[in-house]
Amino acid sequence: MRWYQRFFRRELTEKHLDAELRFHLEQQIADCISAGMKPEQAQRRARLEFGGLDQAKEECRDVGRSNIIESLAQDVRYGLRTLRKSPGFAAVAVLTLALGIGANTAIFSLIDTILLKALPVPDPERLVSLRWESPQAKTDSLPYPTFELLRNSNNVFSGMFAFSNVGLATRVDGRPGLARGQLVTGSYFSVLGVQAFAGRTFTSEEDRVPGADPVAVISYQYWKRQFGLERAAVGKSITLNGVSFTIVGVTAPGFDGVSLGDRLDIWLPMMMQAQMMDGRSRLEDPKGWFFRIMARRKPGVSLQQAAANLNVAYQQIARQETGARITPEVERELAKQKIAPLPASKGLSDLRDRFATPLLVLMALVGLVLLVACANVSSLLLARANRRQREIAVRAALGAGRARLVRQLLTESLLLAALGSLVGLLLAYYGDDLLLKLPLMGESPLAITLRPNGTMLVFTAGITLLAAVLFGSAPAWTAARTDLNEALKAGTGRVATASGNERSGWGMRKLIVIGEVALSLLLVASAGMLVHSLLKLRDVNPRFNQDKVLLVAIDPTIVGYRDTRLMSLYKDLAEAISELPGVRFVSLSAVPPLSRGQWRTGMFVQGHVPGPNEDTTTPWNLIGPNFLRTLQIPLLQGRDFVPQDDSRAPRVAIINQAMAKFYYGNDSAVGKRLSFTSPAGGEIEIVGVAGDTRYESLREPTQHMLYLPYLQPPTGSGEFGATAEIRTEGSPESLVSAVREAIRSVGRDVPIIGFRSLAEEVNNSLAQERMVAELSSLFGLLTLILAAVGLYGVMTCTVAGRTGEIGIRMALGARRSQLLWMVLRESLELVTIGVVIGIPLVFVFVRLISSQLYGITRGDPLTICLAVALQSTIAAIASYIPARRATKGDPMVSLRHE
Amino acid sequence: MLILKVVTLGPIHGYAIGQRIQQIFRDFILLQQGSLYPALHRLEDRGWLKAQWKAPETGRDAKFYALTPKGRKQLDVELRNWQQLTNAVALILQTAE
Repeated sequence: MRWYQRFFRRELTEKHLDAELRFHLEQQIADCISAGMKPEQAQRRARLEFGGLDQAKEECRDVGRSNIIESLAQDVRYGLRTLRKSPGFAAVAVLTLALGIGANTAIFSLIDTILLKALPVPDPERLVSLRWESPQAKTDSLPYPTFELLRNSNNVFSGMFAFSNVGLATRVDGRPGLARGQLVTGSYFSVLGVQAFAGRTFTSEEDRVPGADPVAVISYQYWKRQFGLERAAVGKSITLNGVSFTIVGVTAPGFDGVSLGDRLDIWLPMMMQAQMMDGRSRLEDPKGWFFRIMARRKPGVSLQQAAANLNVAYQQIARQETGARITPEVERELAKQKIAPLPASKGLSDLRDRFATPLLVLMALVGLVLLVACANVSSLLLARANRRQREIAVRAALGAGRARLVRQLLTESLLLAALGSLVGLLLAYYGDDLLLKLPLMGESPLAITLRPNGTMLVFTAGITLLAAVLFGSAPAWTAARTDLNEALKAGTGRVATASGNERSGWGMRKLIVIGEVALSLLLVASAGMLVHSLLKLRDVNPRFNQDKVLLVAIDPTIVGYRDTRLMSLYKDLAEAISELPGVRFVSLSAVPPLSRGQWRTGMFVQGHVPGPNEDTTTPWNLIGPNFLRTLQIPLLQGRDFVPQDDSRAPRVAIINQAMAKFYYGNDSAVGKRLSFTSPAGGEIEIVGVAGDTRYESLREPTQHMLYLPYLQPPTGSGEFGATAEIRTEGSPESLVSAVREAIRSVGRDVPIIGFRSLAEEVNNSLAQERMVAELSSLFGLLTLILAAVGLYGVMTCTVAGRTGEIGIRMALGARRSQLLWMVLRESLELVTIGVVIGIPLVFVFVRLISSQLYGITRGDPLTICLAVALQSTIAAIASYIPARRATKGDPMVSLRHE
Repeated sequence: MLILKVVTLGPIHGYAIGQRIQQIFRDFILLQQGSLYPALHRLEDRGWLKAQWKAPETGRDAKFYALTPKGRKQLDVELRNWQQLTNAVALILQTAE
């Protein structure tokens, strides 16, 4: 019979065993009777000869019971029973583990979603995105003609598609709204392999005639939000940027675009590009670098093959475009350019680049938290093992093998870990919810969904197992070395300080406490440094005045304002707002201060020959008159822009000090000339030099900046949404409704994207740093508490073991303070060793997280000192309590304790 | 080893094995019959014996044990070991004289 049969058919086995033994007895009785005995006598004789019936049965049952599952089930039952007997211990252990495991799961699920998870499409690993590269610059956006040529000339991709985001002003049944849209080529859905949930997706039909197919596919989420999952939505008409579209389909629920954190609502055919943007078609413009391209590799085509093939194709395309003007120089330049395929199985996301390091740092920190939690539970178990010694000894005496005992203890550990991970999963679920509600990206919470999934559960199971082994092995090992006789002799209530195994258990606990102190010092110091760098960042002067400035983001281009109409709208808006009471200055800019996502352009500076690897691109911004005054950026030379700097006037520019210094040294920059590399740009005269400010983030080193008046936009950038900066007399918030009215009065239909104060914007730019600092502080605090609890536990035990000694010393006349110091010294020794081990760890760890730190290069003595002080104080308190308890008592009581 | 040897004779039930061993030992050793069954079950678990329920001559169902090929091999091994051991002991006893 196989063990599993035996397991499932225990009753049958039992019956067979019974029958077999009964048969034996009956046979023997029959034999005895036939030998001439009386029946009673025969029965007695048979029983006697057989020996203990039940004992034999039990031994038979034991045969083959060494199978894993049956004994595991027994262990689990027994473990649950023991845990139920000490609910306090169980609760503390489970809670400690739950905190450790929960924190790990929460951070891991963020990592999984942001860094690991593939797009929800078939064979995502075959997807690539294309990037254009030259030694000076690279971009992920390419011109549409290049896309078409690449699509037609390559033989490594089974399909390619292009797409471009577009802001949409919607009107559904007369209700206005905003939606995130994307123009996509007809192959988008088929190459990705995304099915329609209802209706259909696009086909190559929609790729033929520009402007001919006003059809839209909407996302499941948008369908739910706008149409309440109504089937009739398919076929319905929806007005987008003033054009009427027909909804032809809904995508499957999991799919909301190829960019994580950039959830799309509506997909439109690429051929509708002109109607959706500014009326100008960019589909034939070889200089319209607007379109992102993705492709699916054919099966068996490697990334290298694809890269080689693409490059050949691109070189041909680039030569055709340049046409007859190929000189050796151009030839050399072209040879350095290429289009590279990048793996895109996880989709495109700048979230990933931005959050990768902070998330990994947080993961390392929570890993440490788990270690400390394990150490604590391990310490608890050791203490319990001491108290359970008698029980264990009795079980050993009754014949439980050493391996069996260890297995039993490990099973109990596993049980604790499993319970802890269940609670931890709950914590992680709610914790993640909270995390996502934090404004991580600045203005809006992360647009990602975290769902408990397979990877996450496997991860949790993995760390649970790891945790159980970590905290369970020390107590199990100690228990396995239990000396039977010693343990039985030690009696019930007393703690036998002298016995060897006892001391080894304590030695282990002390080691654990030292480890805990070192780890928690590491965490507290790291958290301290992260907080310290956040404080330093807060103190960074953006070099503009962030107080009392209201920002209003508007985007009139999505309702069709363009060119001169747009310019005059902006001009009118600025005027209308400046007339409001409480407004001191008003300005406009294309890119608001301290927002990520800067514009860059290639530039020629007259009289400057760029070095071979010099980046010739410069960040630039379109600003209105008064921009510098509104933000209180100093004008160092020359003049500010004036309203007369419009399209009819000569083109002018203001540059910042860093740029002036770089290109002109000590010469005055005013009067010098520069031009954009794109042929459309003419010469621009520098009329002023402004002070340097922070442009993208507070962290950045000083950058160059080129300002142009928004009334003189270079060709190709004529249509831009803008942010109005309004310097107010009172609080910026008080003006929100007045400004809204003013905008409405100038342009009824102008979509207002949002109001914010500049101070808020500056603060938001630190959202990620704040998140890391806050979470790491939380983790630091957690470990500090755990370490304190660990120390407290060990000291309580030590003191309990020394009650007698303390009594004797007191009786002999030792002063209370001396005794107190004696006990405290012991714990301080542990803490000191922990700190000495911890400090070098801090220095190593600082290097790992250096990218998250600001203004702290190689460790931060102040923070480390503070962390050590904090750690020692907490440790002193944790050991003072048991020490005081021991010395406060009557010496007689202490003595009698023996 | 003894049990295996007894079982070589053919399918046989527990009681008979007990009787047979008792018979062989005569009264050298008094065997506790009860300790026979755990031994039988252990041998079965190791795959050296196989068991079957069938009716013996007397009519009631009994569990009959028979030797498996693996059991036969084991018996050979054990017999050889035993032989070696007794030879060795005999040798020692002779040289020691």
